[in-house]
Amino acid sequence: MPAPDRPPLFFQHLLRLMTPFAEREPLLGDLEEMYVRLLGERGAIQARAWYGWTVARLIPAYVRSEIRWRFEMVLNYLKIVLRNIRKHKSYSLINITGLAAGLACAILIFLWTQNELSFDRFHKNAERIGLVLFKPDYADWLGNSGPGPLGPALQKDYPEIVAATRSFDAPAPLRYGGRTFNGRVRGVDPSFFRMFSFPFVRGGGKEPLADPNSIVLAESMAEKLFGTQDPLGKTVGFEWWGSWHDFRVIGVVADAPANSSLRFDYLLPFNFVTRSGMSIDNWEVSAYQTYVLIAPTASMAEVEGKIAGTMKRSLPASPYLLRLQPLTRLHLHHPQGGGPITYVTIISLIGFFILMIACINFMNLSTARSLKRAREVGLRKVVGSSRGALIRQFLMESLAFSFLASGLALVMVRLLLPSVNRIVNASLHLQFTMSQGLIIFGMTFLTGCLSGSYPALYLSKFNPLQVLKGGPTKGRGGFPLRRLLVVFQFVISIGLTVGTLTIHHQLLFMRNRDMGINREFVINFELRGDLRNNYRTVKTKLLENPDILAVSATNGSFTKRFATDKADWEGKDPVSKLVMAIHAVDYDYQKVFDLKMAEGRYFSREFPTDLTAGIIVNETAARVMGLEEPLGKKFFCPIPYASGREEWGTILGVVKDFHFRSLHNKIEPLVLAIAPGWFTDCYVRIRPANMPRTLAFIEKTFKETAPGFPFEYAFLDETIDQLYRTESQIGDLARSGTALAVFISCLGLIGLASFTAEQRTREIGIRKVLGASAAGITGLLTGEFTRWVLVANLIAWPVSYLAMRNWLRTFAYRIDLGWEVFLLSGALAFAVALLSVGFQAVRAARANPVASIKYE
Amino acid sequence: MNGLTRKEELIMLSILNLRSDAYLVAITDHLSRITGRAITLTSVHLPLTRLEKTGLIASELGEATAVRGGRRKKIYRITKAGFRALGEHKRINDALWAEYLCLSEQGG
Repeated sequence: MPAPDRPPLFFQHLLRLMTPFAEREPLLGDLEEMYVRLLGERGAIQARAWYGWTVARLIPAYVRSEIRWRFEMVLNYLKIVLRNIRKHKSYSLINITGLAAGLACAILIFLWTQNELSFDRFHKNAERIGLVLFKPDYADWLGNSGPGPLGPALQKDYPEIVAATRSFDAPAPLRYGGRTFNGRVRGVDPSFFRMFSFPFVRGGGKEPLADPNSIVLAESMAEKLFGTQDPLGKTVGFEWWGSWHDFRVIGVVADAPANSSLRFDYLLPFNFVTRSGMSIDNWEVSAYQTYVLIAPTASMAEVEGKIAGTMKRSLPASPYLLRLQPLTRLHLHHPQGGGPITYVTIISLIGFFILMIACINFMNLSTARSLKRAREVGLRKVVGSSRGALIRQFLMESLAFSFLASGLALVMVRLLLPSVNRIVNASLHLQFTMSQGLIIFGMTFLTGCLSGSYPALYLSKFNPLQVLKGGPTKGRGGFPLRRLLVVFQFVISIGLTVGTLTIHHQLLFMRNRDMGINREFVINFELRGDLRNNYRTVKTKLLENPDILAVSATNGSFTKRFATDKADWEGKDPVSKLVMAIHAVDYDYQKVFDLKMAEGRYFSREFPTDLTAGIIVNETAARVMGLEEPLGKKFFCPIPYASGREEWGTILGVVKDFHFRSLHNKIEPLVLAIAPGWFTDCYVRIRPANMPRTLAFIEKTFKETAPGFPFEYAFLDETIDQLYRTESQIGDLARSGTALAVFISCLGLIGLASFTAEQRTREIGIRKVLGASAAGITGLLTGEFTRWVLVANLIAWPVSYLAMRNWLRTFAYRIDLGWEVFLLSGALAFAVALLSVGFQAVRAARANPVASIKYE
Repeated sequence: MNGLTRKEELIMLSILNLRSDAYLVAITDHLSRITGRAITLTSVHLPLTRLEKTGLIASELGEATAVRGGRRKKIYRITKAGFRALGEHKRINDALWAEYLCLSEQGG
């Protein structure tokens, strides 16, 4: 507490704030005199209370008058804003359009980012759910497939784990009343419903799916199967590995929202997988995901530390340590690090930069034009406006602009949303919820403040005496910040162009790279229902059509990955571990994909032993196994041959390396074997001619063998394209963003250039009279701007080089960053700048000097 | 001319009496003493401002004293217009009193 013989400091400040300057000193003195007297008469406490109370009583009156006058001034400011807009239509149009485009882009990106970040957060327990990951001793990857007994064991052994559910999902059809629909099944334990928030809209019960013959449908699946009928208690057929099983509907849950990583059309009791012979109580069979719900008091890291060794305790030979990935990180973060979060960050940054460019435009145009308003500022100052009031006025003005712009931006967003949704493959929509509205409002407000701050500070600094005398308001030069801002704008534009071009080149590269296979005119469909059992018959039937060149079944290469670490071979170092991909194939696999052999031969019907002991590896496998002479070597791979047994086989041939996964990944060692038990997909090579007829023929054959199933097929080249969907989305977004950035930068340049030209009207006139040519004057006016763009190039190149080099590192197969991309981006920026400035410059240069000298 | 309120009249009379030391605290003290009631600073300050705005009183900054934290006083004085207004009030008051006293003399 300060010395008690002086009044409370806080209230002194308050009083000082509330009283006009002339009144301030005597009033403070009067109050202090009274205070000192009370201090003597009644003591410090009462005196202080009196002082505080006296000051506090002044507040309401002060606030009232303050509001009244502020309001009057705001009305006046708004009036001036409207007059200015009307008076300078083209300038206002450029300013508002630029700002609106920037804001619209920022709002769209905000909607998208919000959607991405909201993934899986709708679960009530989202923060407490984790997915168990498996980290082998011998390699650096993390998998999420684990053994069946793990979930129950975790729940039993650790009090911190409140609940656990195993999960297995696969595509499989449902049938009711003779109609069959494809869908995605997910087998789960009953605790699934306690852990995740997928609410029942019908039925349910205490312990859903505890009955091994029950099924829970998602709302949309129930509607497809039953229409308006009540599905509860009905029996539906479920097809699993070639045979049909009956399940009774016990409930319907709401569809998983679009921002859920867990997707399903219907849920079955987890043990349904045993119907195809899969084991759920063997610690050695890894095929299932395990989700755990931890206690509210426990932390993920702590639980992760405790459970890490569970696998090794139950199965001493197991190479796996356990990790936990929080559910909320499932969508955006790869467990090893990185993941789509990188793209979310990049796109958000692009949005931020575009908004920055728009703000910079606004600043530049306002400060440039400010010289015209110097007199207004001078006059306001003379009649008593304080600098603070002027700053408020100009901020108000930019806020008015930004809110006008945000209105326009919302309209743009409304119009653009459908096409943006198509690009990013989502269902974003503008909803005026409290939080969204607030953020958009805040964004607009900040934009207004940010873009108005510099002009406000700059304009309010004018010396009234000088400007009212019509003294020199410096036209050009003297303002390095404005140049800096233009340079910054172009740095961003050029950087974005480099990025867009690089992404485009990499995409082209991936699409056109020779993958070692012929991917054209190959179609793929899943082997469903009786198709799997009757595969041989179907194949024979299909091959009767002369337009069908080859048919082969496999276990879904390109879209699914099967790998093992249990391969063994003659001369293998017993401690080394090697992960190898497995493709189950048949005799015509080579023909369908046009595979080339490096050594030896492909499987052939002439050698019956190929069926029971034939093995083919790829070049990479032969190399990493360290086999100098791979042919004839004994090889073991846990895959059931046609005989149904897993046995040692013999390497018959080495196939040339081909890409069977996306180009993000290096070619892995691969084993091929004839294993009909594993077939899930059928690939058919057709002749380019008569394609519609051939497709119809395949469909007919499919329907005859598997009646009631919808025929869904895909072309292989499209399937491969899908592997790069994220990149192509980012490419599309980056392209639009870049176009927008360049567009806004241009608007700014046009505004600035026309302003400069106007400022120098007289100078240009005099130069012309003295004999300057139109070309010379155009050069004079454009020279300045082009210099800035050159500087921007020098800054943008190294920055974007580093950024793009990092991005390209995420691909195992990538393009080299050539200088052409940089040169092209720079030239593009240069051309665009020259065009937008040049137009204004030529107009100024061709004006009649007589008119321009009279000007002002 | 608008009439003065009772309070305004009292304040102005007080300023007259205090002569060259008529500032806010002194006026408040003086009025409290004469009326025998506690009068607050704020209830005096507001009429003072009003009177100054209407031009009936004027002010200038006086000397600073230590008890005021080294701040100067605002000394009020009555303007010509103020004198006229006060005189008008006094004339009306006197006339009314005179008439009443006259009547009671006759009646008594």
